[in-house]
Amino acid sequence: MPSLPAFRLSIARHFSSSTSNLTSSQSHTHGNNHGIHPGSSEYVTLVSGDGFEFIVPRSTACVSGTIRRMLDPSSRFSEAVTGRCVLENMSGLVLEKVCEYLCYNLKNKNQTNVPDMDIPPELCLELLMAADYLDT
Amino acid sequence: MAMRARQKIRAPRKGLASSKGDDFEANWQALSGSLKRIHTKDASDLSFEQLYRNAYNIIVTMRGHDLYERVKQLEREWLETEVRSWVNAAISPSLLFAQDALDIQDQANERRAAGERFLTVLRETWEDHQLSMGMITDVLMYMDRVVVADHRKPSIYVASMALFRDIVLRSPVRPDTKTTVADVLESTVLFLVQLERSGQIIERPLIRHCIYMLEGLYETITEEESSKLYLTSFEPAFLEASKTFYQKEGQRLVESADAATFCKVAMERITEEKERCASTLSTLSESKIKEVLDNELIKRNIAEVVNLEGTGVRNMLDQDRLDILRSVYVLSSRVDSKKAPLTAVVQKCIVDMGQEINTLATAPAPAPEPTGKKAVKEKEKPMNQQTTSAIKWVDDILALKKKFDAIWVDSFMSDQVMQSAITTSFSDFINSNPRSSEHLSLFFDENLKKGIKGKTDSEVDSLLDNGITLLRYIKDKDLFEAYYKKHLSRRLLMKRSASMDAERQMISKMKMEVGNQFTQRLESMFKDMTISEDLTSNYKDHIRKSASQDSKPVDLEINVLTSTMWPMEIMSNTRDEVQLSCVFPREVESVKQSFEQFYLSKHSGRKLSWQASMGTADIRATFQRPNGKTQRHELNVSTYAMIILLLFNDVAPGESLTFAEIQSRTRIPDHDLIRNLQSLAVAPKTRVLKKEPMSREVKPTDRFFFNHEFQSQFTKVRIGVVSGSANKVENNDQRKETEKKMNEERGASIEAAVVRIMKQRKTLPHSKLMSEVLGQLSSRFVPDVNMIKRRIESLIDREYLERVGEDPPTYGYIA
Repeated sequence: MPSLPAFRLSIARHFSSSTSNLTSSQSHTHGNNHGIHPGSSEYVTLVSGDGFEFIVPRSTACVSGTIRRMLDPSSRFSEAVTGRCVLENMSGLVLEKVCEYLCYNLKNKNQTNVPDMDIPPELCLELLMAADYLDT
Repeated sequence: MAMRARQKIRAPRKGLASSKGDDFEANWQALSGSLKRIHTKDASDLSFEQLYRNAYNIIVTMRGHDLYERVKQLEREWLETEVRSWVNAAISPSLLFAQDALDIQDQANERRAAGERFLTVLRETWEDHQLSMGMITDVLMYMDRVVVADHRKPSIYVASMALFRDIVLRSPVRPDTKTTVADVLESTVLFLVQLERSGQIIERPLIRHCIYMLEGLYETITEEESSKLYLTSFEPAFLEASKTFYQKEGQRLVESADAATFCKVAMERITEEKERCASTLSTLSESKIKEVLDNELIKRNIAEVVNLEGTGVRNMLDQDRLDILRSVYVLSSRVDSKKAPLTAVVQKCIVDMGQEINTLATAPAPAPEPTGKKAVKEKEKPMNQQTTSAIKWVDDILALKKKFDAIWVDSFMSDQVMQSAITTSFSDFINSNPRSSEHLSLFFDENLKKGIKGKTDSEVDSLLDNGITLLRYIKDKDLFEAYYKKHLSRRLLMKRSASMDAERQMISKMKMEVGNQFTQRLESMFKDMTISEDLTSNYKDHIRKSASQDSKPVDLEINVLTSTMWPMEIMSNTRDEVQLSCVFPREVESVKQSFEQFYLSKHSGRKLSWQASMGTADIRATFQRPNGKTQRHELNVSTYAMIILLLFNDVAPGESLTFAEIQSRTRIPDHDLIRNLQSLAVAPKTRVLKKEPMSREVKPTDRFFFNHEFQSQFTKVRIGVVSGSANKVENNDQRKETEKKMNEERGASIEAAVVRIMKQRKTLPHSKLMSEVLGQLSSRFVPDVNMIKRRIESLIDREYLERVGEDPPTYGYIA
């Protein structure tokens, strides 16, 4: 995988020790909230089905239509209240690539001559499905 | 690339939809339970992701269509079982049956409270529904994206809004009536609006929110702008109710209130309705309710208001109530770009006021005239009075004009239509006074002689401008020119003008206003004056050079006037047939001859005719006092008076000359001679001659003596000629004279115009010729049609024109 310094700066990566069980992962982060007030904070947490957490800026996450609605403060769902989105049906590998794309999209918005993003062929299909799911 | 292509693409791990398999019912169970919790505002521990994933799973297993129908069914059940009953419960009987209970205070209050309660519930229901549906739509966004796009169905949000419309709003309130919730909403809102119109305070935001609901709901699922429920159902009812209300209100106001109140109320209603659209109802209705107001309240009643006896526009104009006038104007201009009733009244008012000024100016005139004719001595006073009243006429008109200008700017917003209406009215009444040209010229004369002394340039400027504006109204500009020329020539020759600058300014202003042609002759009068000055100084040089040894050369100051440019009729008395030039005394005669020589040597082929009646002379007179002393006075007299006085040089002391003798020796015209003798022998302060018998009248048999006892405290004495030298209103004879002259001149102008046109066109039908002639001449005067006809006849007689056709009558030009 090629190194992407800009992208790596903007996301922190946590290897959760817990299983992919949704409830246990939630309880884990509840106690370990990084001092960020949920709901309206600048950063949100995206969690993969197998327990990887990605903390990304809210604006980055909201590139995805699904996540944007998920986090919309006016809809009072649990994701909007906690600022934590568990994407049950996505593996950490795919979610990492997704996060990379979200950053890439936001960074190169409204620009011309954008460099291509590197997609490993073995992830193509899974990423396509994720894109459909996340409406990006 | 080849390397990478061979790399194996990892198959998706059972796909994203794998986790809970493809059990539709299980997914739906989870989903429907959550959707209900959303409706009951119990969503905070629901996971968006989970719901989304449920829907996603259903859809990727190709059951999307079923999901859509299930959701719709869920919504329908929810609305039918829960929401509808809440709303219906909030409708109290008073809302249903008390439709016309506005007049009974108790019932009105009750109905109002019930209405507000109902609106609050409805508003809450609607907002909840909106919010829940927003959340559900978010959760089901995958469905909207895939299923709705594929099957061309309205999005679930739109579909649920339509359900709300049909199930909540369009359902009967009670099983036994046809009245629907929407009907109750409509009548309630209208009732509250009615309350506000009658001055009560209502809860505007509440209504506004209910209107938002109507604006957010559509008749069709495609949601066109025009199919908003607000536009299809509420607005027509609102406009209809407003229409009835304003019809009644207009009638009530016209019957019971005065014009000012009507305007005030109408203006208030306009802002009120506008505000209502902005804050209570919808801005969509603003233009429509404006139209209702314009039609029902204003258009129906404005004419009546404008003409209201005692308080209408007439009264406002009289009392300078500019603010109300402005309201009237604003109201009128909303409904009618011509503002017909308003202009009519304003015009009538101006003409009435103008006629008043006209009668004021002419009223004193007829009374003194008969006596004035009988006695010359009495003539002086009424004439002066007439002159002042002429000037007063102009001043009055200017004041009136100023008043209406102010009204025009302040109240009529400088409206073009109003301006032309005002202008026409002014023009009408000014031209209805036959003496307007004369009066105006007199006004200028007075101001240029005395009025502008001690005034700043800008004051003079505005004064003249005022006069010019009146000139603009006068139709018979040629008549004005004639008078102005006459008055100007007097000012120039008698040196009575206060400021030559002002005179020039005046000319240039007239030039701008009326055109070059108009001022040409006036300008050449000025030119003559300048040339004459040069001529005089040249002549003086000439005399000094020729060095004649005459001990007492007579100073000669001469004005050579071009006879066609100056109004000759005022200098030579036209009523006398052949005018023999008067006999100048020796001394003067020699000067005259010497000047003639000098002038003709410079300009051969010209003829000088001497106009003694307009000149003045300075003479030095020696008076032998009985005590042996002699007293010298310098007398400034008219040329005729000088000739008369010089006669007495040859008369031995104590001897006399009779009137007849003087007349035969001077050949001064009777009229002038009488006037000059009067000023020399009758006027108390300047009695250089004694008359026998001592009376005011001068008779042919009177005898005149040189008066050695003449007394005056000044060395220089100015002896004016009795009347005639000052510019004043003409008497009837003079006016007839001027009119006659004017008609001749106009006849000539008409003939010239006819010939000019015919020369160009060769043949022309009668009516066409008439209109062209009128067009050409209208800048100078309004020609009389009969006069034009006569002139055409005469041109045919003189073979300039011929008749070439009878139907239509056509003329041809004879080259």
